[in-house]
Amino acid sequence: MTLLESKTTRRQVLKGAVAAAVLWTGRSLFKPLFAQQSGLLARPVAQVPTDPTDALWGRARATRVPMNPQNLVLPRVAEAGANEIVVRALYDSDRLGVLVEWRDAHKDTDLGTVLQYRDAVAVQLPEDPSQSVPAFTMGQEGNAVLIYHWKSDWQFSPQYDVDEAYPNMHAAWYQYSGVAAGEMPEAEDYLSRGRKEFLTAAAVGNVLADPRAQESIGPVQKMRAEGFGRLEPHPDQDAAGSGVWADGVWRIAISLPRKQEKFRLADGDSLPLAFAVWDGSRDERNGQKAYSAWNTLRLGAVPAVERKRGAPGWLVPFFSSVWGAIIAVLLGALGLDLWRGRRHKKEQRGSGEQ
Amino acid sequence: MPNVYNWQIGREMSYPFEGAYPERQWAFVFNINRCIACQTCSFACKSTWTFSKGQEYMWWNNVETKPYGGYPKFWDAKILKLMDDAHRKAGRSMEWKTAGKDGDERPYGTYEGMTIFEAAAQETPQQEVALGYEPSDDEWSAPNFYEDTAAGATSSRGDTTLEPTQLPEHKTWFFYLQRLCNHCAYPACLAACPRQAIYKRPEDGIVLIDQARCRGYRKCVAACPYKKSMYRSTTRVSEKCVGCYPRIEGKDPLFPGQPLEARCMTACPGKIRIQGLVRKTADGKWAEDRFNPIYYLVKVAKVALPLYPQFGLEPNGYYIPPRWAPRPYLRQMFGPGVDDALEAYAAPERELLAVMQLFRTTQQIIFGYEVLEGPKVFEATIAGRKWEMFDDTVIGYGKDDQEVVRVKVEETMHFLPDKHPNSI
Repeated sequence: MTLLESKTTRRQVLKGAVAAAVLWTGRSLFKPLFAQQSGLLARPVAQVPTDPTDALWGRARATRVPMNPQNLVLPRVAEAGANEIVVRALYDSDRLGVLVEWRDAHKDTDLGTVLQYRDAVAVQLPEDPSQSVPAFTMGQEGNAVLIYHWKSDWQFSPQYDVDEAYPNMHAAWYQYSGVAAGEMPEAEDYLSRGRKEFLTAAAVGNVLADPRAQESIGPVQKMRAEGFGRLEPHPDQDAAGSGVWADGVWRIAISLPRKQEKFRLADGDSLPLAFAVWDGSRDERNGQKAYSAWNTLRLGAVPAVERKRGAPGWLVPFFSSVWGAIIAVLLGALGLDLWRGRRHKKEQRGSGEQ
Repeated sequence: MPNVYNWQIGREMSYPFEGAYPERQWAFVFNINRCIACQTCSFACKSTWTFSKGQEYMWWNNVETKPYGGYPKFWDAKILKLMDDAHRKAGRSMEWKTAGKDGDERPYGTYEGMTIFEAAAQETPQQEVALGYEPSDDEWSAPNFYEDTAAGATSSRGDTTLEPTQLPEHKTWFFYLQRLCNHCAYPACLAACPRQAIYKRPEDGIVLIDQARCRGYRKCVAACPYKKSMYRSTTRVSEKCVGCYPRIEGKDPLFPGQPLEARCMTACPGKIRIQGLVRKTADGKWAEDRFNPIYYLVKVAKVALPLYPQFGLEPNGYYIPPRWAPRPYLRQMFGPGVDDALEAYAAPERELLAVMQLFRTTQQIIFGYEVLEGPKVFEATIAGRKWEMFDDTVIGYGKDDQEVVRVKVEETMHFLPDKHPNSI
């Protein structure tokens, strides 16, 4: 140590080498370790896909985001369903797309009985990034967050209720539902044919109770909050997206405009993003959820591989995950070489890439 | 958590919010002894409020047979079990100290165990605002299960502990419990809502779920020990008893501008029910209102008792306990005031007998009453003591001090003439 301390440049070189060695020997070689360290990177595409299975997502860099059970405020949860999510981001000239993936053994989309809860995911960003970054706990008074909230039931079973849960049920007549005696109304019938005040929450404008409003919004609802318990639907509904559950994994694509009310996300800009996931079969809802702290998303430049026209799409994820590791290892090796050879070169090149 | 004073348990207790009290409080008194479980109340409510899709299982008012019946199934046994577990874990017990019982501050003594709020706070780490659970569909599905099912061994049928003239306590017994939202002074539903979508109205203390703010989290369903918040699958949010607030506000066209009792109250053929509005002070106590029938029954005659006061919600439903059921069971359900209440009820004093005639005599809320003395019409010995009955007249007054009802203790007898023996 003392020997190295005598020359700062040597120490820097050694640091680079050690970092590279750690990366090289680390078991995360094939994991997007670099992405995790440097935050989220959005890559440009011609058009952001809203289908989570779109091959374009393969061009995005996958980043693991650790999730924690919400245990700051009541009601708390000691353990949440999601421990980690994988996030990818893409952007086009108008929109930013985020793909969130997490493991969930049960697809929970039905809310027809009293103990059923939905799977859901939320992407959170500051309402006004020119202010100080709001608390990741849904913002605070005077410093709001925007929340893009995908709800499984809105996409998969918007009118799944008591008669879907209990297909053999019988009811003689639902007065004011707008349907004849002996017929089974759906919630929508109260709004379109019957009397809406008997679909009580819908009658006072609660979107959760209004299948027609949900259809026009789509499965991703834009919301606004100034702290826990202060979530409200946003007046502008500008989200798009959808989710797919397969083999125990949810993949949810959420797209939002780069131009928001209080800012525009330009190329190269960074933006704090946070996430929350609810696992319905664990009775997760409201603050009983898994959430992340803020992550920085940057709208990055076009990666080299993408500039080559016709580069096969399958190569992209390979590069995106392993490329950084290779570079670091090379840099580290170079640093070692420099140190050993005591060559008189510009020393800064050897410093460890983070 | 702030401390609030709960007079039903005779002490301060912790509650998530500072005390904030309405000007008047919606409250009711039910005489369990009179109920025949006809369920007219249940259907009056259902045909008024909960006949739409998604509300099938909702009985904001229900009548269940105790001890086994419950809607949702075993609701009180389950919450009592949770409380018992919490007390055992904390090395405490759900005991009352009745030695220091005293007038208005602690009429039943002091509850020394934990409320559902305090029990939840004991958990480490604390996860919920109140101790509770969420009933399943199955538990909600049979609202009158165990109807008329008695407790007691078959060998004890017909056995009583005492002679019938001495207030029998039956060894084989059941009774009907009429239940709806208690519009509590310290509602657990309100406390547990992460969005503060539940509020207590400053004018009448009615507790409502704001249907625009509710997001269907069902924390209120879990937290309300009486299980009177219910989730509706067609709207994805929860609903609860609204205390028939339009009637309380005088919006019913039947008596424009006059506060009317809730539908379940006014429909009661058994005349077991009376509902009113009691005046509250700024610090949450009941303001003295000597001739308000609810105030008189609860605070003066002390014949009507809160349901499970040890939960700590200061519920505003009061019950005259059934005099034939075992006292330990009743004490568990209504607190240690049971013995005094039953003594008062079994041989009612003159004023109490008069006020009990007001039950279910008018749809208009009675804000005050007056008793005009009448002649003695009967005398008997009850529990070894002389008891006299007077044919007094009781007059009920409405919001504007107008007379809304006048009734005598002795019911008027009408004899049908022979030529119309079967007509009504």
